[in-house]
Amino acid sequence: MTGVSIIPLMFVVGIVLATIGLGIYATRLSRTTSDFYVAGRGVNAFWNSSAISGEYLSAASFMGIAGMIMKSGYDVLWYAVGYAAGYVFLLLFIAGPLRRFGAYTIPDFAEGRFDSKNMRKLAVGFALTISFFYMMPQMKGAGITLAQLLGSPYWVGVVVVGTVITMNVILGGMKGVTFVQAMQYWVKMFAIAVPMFILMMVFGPYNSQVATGGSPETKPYTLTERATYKYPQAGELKFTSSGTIKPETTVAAKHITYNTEGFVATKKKVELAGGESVSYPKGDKIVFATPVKVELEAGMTVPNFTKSESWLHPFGPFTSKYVTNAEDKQWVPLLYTYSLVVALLCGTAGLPHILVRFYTNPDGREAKKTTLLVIGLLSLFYIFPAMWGAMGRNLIPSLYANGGTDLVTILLPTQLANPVFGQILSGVTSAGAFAAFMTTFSGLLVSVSGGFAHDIYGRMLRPNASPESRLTAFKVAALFGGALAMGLGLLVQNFDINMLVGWAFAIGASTYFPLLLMGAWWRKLTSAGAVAGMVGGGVGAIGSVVFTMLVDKGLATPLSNGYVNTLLAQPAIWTVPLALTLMVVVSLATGDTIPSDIRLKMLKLHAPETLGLKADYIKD
Amino acid sequence: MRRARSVFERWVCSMTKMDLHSEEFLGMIMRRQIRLSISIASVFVLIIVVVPLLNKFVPEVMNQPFLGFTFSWFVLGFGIFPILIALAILFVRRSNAFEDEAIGMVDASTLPVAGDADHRDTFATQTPAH
Repeated sequence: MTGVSIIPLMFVVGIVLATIGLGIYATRLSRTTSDFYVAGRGVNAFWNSSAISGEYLSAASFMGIAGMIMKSGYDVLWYAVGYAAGYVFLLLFIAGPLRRFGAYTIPDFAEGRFDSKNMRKLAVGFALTISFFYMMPQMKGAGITLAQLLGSPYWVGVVVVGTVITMNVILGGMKGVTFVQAMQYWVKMFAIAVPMFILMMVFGPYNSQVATGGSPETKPYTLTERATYKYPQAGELKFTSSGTIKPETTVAAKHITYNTEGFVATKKKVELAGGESVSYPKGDKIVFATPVKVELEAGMTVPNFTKSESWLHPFGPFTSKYVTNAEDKQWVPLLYTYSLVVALLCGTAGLPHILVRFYTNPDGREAKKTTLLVIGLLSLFYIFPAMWGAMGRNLIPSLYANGGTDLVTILLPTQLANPVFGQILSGVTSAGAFAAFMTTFSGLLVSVSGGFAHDIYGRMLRPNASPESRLTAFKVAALFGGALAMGLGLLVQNFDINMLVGWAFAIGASTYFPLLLMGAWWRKLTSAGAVAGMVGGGVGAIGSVVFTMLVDKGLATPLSNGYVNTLLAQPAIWTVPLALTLMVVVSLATGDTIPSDIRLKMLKLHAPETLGLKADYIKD
Repeated sequence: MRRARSVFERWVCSMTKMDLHSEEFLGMIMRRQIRLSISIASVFVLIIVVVPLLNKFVPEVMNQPFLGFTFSWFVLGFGIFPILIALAILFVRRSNAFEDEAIGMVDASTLPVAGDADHRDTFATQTPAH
C-alpha cells in the first residue's frame, strides 16, 4: 500500500506522453474551427466506431464494473449489459434521423427542430450538467489509481490527471482526440483482455472463479495478519465477524448498528480513542467522520465482505440496498433492477459527448453502420470486467476492507508469483485505466467547451464572433471546465465509480432521450412540450440523485420507505415516463405552436439522404 | 397477415410514384421505419424484461449450474451480447433495404435540383470558417 510502484508508473507515464504527443501532432492537422470540433465528417465507420467506443469506455467500464462486481456480485452484470445495449436503442430510434437532420450538436437539433432559441439554451444547460456528472467518476478513477501507484494523496491524482487532459484538449481539440480515441479503444481492449487470459491460466478460468466466489463452502476470507487500512471521510467499516480496530488518532465516527436482519437500527456519533483498541460485535458498522488509519486484527473476517449466496445470485446487496423490512424484500430489488436498466438503455442516447460523434459520419447509413460496429466492439469488451471482479473476490479480498474494490483491475496482476511480471501486467491495466479516464474526460471536456464556445458564446453572447475568438472561447472554457471537474472530483472519493456514471445516465435518459425520441418521431411535439418534458424529467432525476448523494454523505436524512429510497437512488423508471408524458400533454395543449414547416423537418429526419433534402433544407 | 399487407403496400407504391413533399410519402416512410424499429425493440425489451422476472419467480431454474456458472450469470455475462449484435445486424439490413426501396418510390421530377445538392451543412453555412 505504500511506496511507488515503478513499473506500472512507467506504463502510465508512457500512455500519458503518447496521448499528449499525438495531441500535439494532431494540432498541426486541425487548422479550421470545424476540424477542431468534429474532425470533419469524413471519418470512416471502422475508425469512427473505434473512436466512439474508445470515448465511451470510461473509468466506470474499465475499473468500476469490475470493482462493483467484486463488491456486490450478480446484479452489477446489468451495468455491463446496459452500457452495451443502450446503443441498440440509439441505433433503432435515434442514430439515423439525427445524422440526417444535419445539425451539429444536440442544441443545434433542439433549435432546428423547434425554431426556438430557448430550446437551445435548455439543451446546453443539460449537456453541461450531464457532462459534469460524468466527469466526477473519471476524476475519482484517476485519483485512486495514481494514489495507488505513487502512494500519494487522492487529490494529487485528480489534479495531475485533470491538468494533463485539460492541457491536451486546449492544445489538440477533437481532431487529435478522434485519432487518439480510436487507438485507445484498442489499448483498453488489450489491457482488459490479455492480462486476464494470463491470470486465468495461472489462477483458473472465469467459471471456476465465479463458482468459488459464490460457493457457501468457500472458507470465510480471514485476515492472515494485522493490517493497516486508510479510511477516507465517510469511509465505511462493517464487521462481518467480531473484531478489534485500533485508530491511529482520536477520531469522531458515525456509528451505525445493524439489527439481526442486517438493516440499520441506530445511528449515532462516537469518538474512537486514538491508539487504543476498540472491540465491535459482528454486524456493527462504523462510518468515519474524518479520514483515519486503523489497524485490523489478524483472524477477523475481512470487513465489508459480501456473503457468497447473495453475491452469486440475483437481487443481492446492490439492489437490496434500500430494503428495510421483509415486505420490501419482495419487490424493491426487482424495482431497482428495472429502474437501473431503464437508465442505462435510454441514457446512452442522452450522453452529449457520444451523440456529437454521430455527426462525424458522412451520412445516416454510415451512422447506422458505425453504431452496429460499436455494439460489436462494446459487447466484446463488456464480457471482461466481470472476470476481474470474480477473480478479485477470491484473490484479493482485502480490498473489501476499506472499499478499495474499484482498484481490482489495477491490483489483481500483482498477485502473480513473479513480482516483476505481475508489475508489468499491472502496468498494462494501469495504462488501460488511464486511457479510460483520458479519453472520456477529454471527450466530455471538448463537449462542454464546445457547447460553451459554439452555443453560449457563439450563439447567445456574441453571435458575430469571429472563428478565432470562438476558438479562444473554447480554450478558456476548457480551462475553467477542467478546473471545475477537478474540484467536483475531490468531493466523490467515497462513491462507487459505477454509481456515479449510472447517475449521469439516469439524467441523460430523463432529458435528452425523450427530446430526441419524440423530436424525431412525433411531429406534434411542440417546443413548450419538449421544455416541459426535459425540465420535469431533468429536475426529477437530478433532484433524486443529489438527494441520494447527500444522504450517502450524511448531509440529509434518508426516508424510511424502501420503495421511495430506491426510486430516488435509481430514478429513471419514473423520470423517463414523466418526461415523455409531460411532452405529450403539454404539446397537445399547445398544438398551435407546431413549426409551420414541420413536414419538411420530418422529411429531412426520415427520408434517405440520396434524395438531396439536406441542400433543400439549407436554402430556407 | 402483416407480411401480406406490406407486399400489397409495396405493389401499390410501385404503381404510383409519390411526390417527395407529399404527406403520403412522409407518412409512409415514417410508418415503415418506426414499425421496423419497434418490432426489433420489442424483441429486445422482452428479453430485458423477462430475465429479472425469471430470476424472481423461478430462481431454481435460473440458479442451475450451467458451464460452471449459474444459468442467470451466463445469460448476462455472455449470452445476451450475441443477441444484441444479431438484432443490430437485422435492423441495419432491413433499414437500408427500405431506404433503397423508398428512393425508388419517389417521383424524380419532385426532387431538389441536382446542382444545389452540395453537401454543405448548417454549421458550415452559418459560420464562414474556411
